[in-house]
Amino acid sequence: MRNSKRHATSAGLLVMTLFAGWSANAANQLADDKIAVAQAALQRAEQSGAPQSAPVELATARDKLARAQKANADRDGKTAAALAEQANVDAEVAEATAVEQRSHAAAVEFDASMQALRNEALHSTAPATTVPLPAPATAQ
Amino acid sequence: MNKGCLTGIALTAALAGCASTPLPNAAVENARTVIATTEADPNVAQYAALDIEAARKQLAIAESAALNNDQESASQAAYLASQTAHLAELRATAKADDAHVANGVVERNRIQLAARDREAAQAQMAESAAAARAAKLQAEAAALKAKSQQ
Repeated sequence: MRNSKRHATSAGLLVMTLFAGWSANAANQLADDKIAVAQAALQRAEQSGAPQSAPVELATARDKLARAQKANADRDGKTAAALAEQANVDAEVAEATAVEQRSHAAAVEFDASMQALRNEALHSTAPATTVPLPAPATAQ
Repeated sequence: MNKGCLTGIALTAALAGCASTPLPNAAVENARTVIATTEADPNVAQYAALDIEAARKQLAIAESAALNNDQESASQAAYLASQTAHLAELRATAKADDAHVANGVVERNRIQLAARDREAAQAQMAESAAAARAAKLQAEAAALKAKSQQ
């Protein structure tokens, strides 16, 4: 009777230990995944011109990723996952800032070229007399 | 006795207050404002519907965590919601600029084509004017020649 009680207790302890181990592992796996996603987003941002267009956002993302990696190394999976999620969205914002700046610059440049073209078209629709044809050589 | 009773009532009220009304979370408030501003941009609905939808979902998670007084989860989800809304705004603006250029290219081609047509017509006119002048000069020369031979 006493023996079986002791068995039950140790079985319970074993289950609890296994569960704790499993959930810690799950948290670390989740953190690993989120860190990998954030790393990929940072790489994309760095290749998209974010270092020039959005250095502050990029620096924030890098800092959070480093802190996520440190928390993960310290076996704090929850903090690591949260920081990696933030690093990922910060990197995406940095990339989108760079893309948006490029699109905006292209649109401004395009508008300027269109304005020049319209002005040109306006001038050439003026009466032909503004562009005199070579006068016939007068007989001497 | 009276004082003790009052303190008891105050404590009970404070505890009840804690249990029923969640603490205001600044990050959640901020996310709500950012999302409302982003939604007001017509480009967002047209070009970044999925991103703003993702932001709204994160805000719902943040609000539900705040209701349960889970401030840490509320702040995390609220931060993700705000940044996702920011992302929606940036992507929508970029796509609107791209569309502006794409539409403008059609207009530019039309103007350039019209200019080429006009130039061709002007060249044609100049050519026929020159031909007419040449014919007139030739006729005058012939007339003079005929006159001198008489």
